Amino acid sequence: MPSFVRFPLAEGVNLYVYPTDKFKTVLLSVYLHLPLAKETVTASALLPMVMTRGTAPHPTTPELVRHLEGLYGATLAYDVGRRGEIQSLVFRLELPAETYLPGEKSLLERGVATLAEVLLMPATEGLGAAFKSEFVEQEKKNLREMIEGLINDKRRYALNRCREIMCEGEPYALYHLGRTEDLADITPASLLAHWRRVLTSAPVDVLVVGEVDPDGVAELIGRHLAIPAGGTREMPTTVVRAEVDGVRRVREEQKVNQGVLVVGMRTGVTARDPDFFPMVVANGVLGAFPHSKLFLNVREKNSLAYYAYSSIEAFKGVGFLYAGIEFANYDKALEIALAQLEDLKQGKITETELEATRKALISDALGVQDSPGRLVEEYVSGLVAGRTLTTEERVAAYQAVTLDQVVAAAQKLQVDTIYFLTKEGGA
Amino acid sequence: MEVHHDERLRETIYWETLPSGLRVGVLPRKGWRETTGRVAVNYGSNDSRWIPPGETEPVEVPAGIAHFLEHKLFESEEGNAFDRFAALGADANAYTSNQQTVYYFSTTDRVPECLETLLDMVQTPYFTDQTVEKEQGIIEQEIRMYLDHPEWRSRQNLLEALYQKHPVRIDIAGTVESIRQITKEQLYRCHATFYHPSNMMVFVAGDVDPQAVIQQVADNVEKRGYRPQPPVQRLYEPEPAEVAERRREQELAVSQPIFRLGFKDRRVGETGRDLLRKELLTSVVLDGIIGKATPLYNELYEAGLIDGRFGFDYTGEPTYGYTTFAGPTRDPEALEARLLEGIEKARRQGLESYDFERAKRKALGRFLSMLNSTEMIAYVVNDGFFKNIGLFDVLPVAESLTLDEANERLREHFDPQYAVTSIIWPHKGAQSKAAAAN
Repeated sequence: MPSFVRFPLAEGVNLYVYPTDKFKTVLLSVYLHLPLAKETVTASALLPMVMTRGTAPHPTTPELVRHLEGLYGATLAYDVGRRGEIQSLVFRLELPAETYLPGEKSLLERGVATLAEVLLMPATEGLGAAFKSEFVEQEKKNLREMIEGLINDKRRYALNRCREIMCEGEPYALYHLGRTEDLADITPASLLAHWRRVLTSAPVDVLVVGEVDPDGVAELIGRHLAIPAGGTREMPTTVVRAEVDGVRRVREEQKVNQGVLVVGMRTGVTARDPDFFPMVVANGVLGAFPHSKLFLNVREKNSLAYYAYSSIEAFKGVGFLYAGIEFANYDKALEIALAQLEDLKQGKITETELEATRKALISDALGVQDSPGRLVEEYVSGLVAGRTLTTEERVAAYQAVTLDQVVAAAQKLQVDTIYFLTKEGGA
Repeated sequence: MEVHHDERLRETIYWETLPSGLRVGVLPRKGWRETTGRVAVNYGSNDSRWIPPGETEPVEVPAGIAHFLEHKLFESEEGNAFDRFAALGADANAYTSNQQTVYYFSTTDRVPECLETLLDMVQTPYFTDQTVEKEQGIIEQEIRMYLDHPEWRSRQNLLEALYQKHPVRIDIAGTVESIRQITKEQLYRCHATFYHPSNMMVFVAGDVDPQAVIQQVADNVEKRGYRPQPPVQRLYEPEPAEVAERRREQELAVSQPIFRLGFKDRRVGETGRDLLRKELLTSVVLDGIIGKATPLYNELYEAGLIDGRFGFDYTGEPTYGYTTFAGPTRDPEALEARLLEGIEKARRQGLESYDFERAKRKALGRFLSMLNSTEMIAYVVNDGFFKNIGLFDVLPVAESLTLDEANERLREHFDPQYAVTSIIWPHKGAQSKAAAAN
């Protein structure tokens, strides 16, 4: 069974290589982990948007894009991720494995060099003191539109609002793409200075998945991707709060055709805790799957919703129940959803529910091995949590969870905030 | 058993045709954890008027019935198929498109049991007045969810503007009103008509033995005594070349306008490699005129009229085809004007050989990347199947495209006379309220 092989590059900078011939492409990813903080969240989210627009060797977007297309349509992508109160900037480059392109010998090296170029040779002006202002101004506008555009997806919007309200005053309340009010103060020079700080202070994880020779790729990365020396690069942490002081109810109005009900909960349980796997199983029984209590009772038995699910978060220790419902069915849907939570806490869990959940989670854990993207994301989650598990360990952990442990974990699901997005002047 | 092997891709697909007419395909992949199994039915939302085999009178059913039937097949007299898949540790779902209804599972264990469950499920209709009524409530909420979905609304409005008669203009899920008219008798009738093995295919991809999978499907299906059935005569009213209307606009609770421009294809009626060739050619042309490397894309981007969410694609089916360009924008009218102008300029000048080769090479890389996912492979095989397009046709056809035919396609398809625009506007005066909620 392949696994990630670690190559330490510098303090807080590590390369992890997963060699496999299962995939037809090679995926290169670079993660930089930052504390989610209101002072930096917006500038950090803006960085990958600006940096993937052009580089010093390819200073315009068409030049960079043409260069990538020359690498058999290599895709350069960025992401801004969130794990608890940690914001991660992700740069990814995916290109075909050389073995499928007869005659290609240096494609991987050119891919590594291109990714290094994006990180280490940004397109600048003012004698290298500022990012190219044109990119910064355009991407500030785009970031504003992306932040405001959250409202276009009602389910995501409602989940985000519930999170904001529940965690008001905590860094976790921040939207990981930032705040529109910060944009005006960001300049091409301040942003580049911010990037230099990030590059010398953030822990960096470089991950490679695909048909590669680990030592060879380590040599390539070492040669091209010389991350400047920095401090100790410690992984940021997340403050977990388990207690809840009363249930808050919030109702907001928009001109919508369907209401979205979200129940925000605190669990206090994270991926580092011994009862994390029992908590994942508890959430599975409650609402992660079509066999779960929420789907069966809110949708199948009572015909109240098309979607009705729950989710938990592995770093902050929070969770959500959510469903899209008719405005007038708010009371009924909420009552049924909360009754499912209560049944779970009282241990009203059948053998069938428990086993179906266990199998689904094991299947999901195994399936990670079939996708380069999922392999990388899951491994990084382990790095952030300070506990990386192999697939086999994960499967064994699910197998070991008992009903009593699930019921004990369920006790920790504390309702904090009940949010309803409803129509204007609505029920 | 037919063996289709592609040396370059290092992949093989095994195909078999059973006596009932069912086609079964298997793509074995050693060392893969997940296996996906699919049943596809050549029946989608477009098929709401037809003449049943052996009869002479047309039947007409309410809009949204194919999708409704997809939901209902998950329920049998013994209970819900989601629960049976869950007991096996598998994930199952289904979707209905304009052309097809597809049921699938994904599992890392007990593949034969999952396949059996899937085959039984689609071949065992069970409807009562009560279960039909219950589903109406669920699907009504699905329809309402889409009524708040700006991209979906923009796409739907565009199709209504592009087509005068073709059923692709009708929403796949139907309307709250149309699904209220659906009865269990109609569902049984649709099932009996379209869910005949000769109108279906089964495809399995994963670490499996092809011979064993094919045998299992044969054992399950052939014991049911299907009688040969001629193809269903589907009734589509003739579609004029002209578009229905030039422009569709709607207001929704969105942060900024959402723009969509569509070109109606007048070259229709092709299947197989001809259709594939047209699809790939159109994709390469699109990439050559407005891909991220082009001046047009960058002018629009720098003018702040588009951002990274802007996209374009071509949909090619035997009876219809269209290209869309879509994305959020601050100024839909300016974007429309500059996009049309840029496309006109490209039509006059034609693609450069360099851009054409670049776009071709990119298409090759993207195809390889798609093959990383067993589920994507299954999707592509399904999607091509009833159009008579095979997975291994893609590379050779893509490589044989020429610049001349690309330029011919560019001039033919992107005629502004056949373009329509769909715009979703934020509610007037609602902006401040939405912002306040942030």
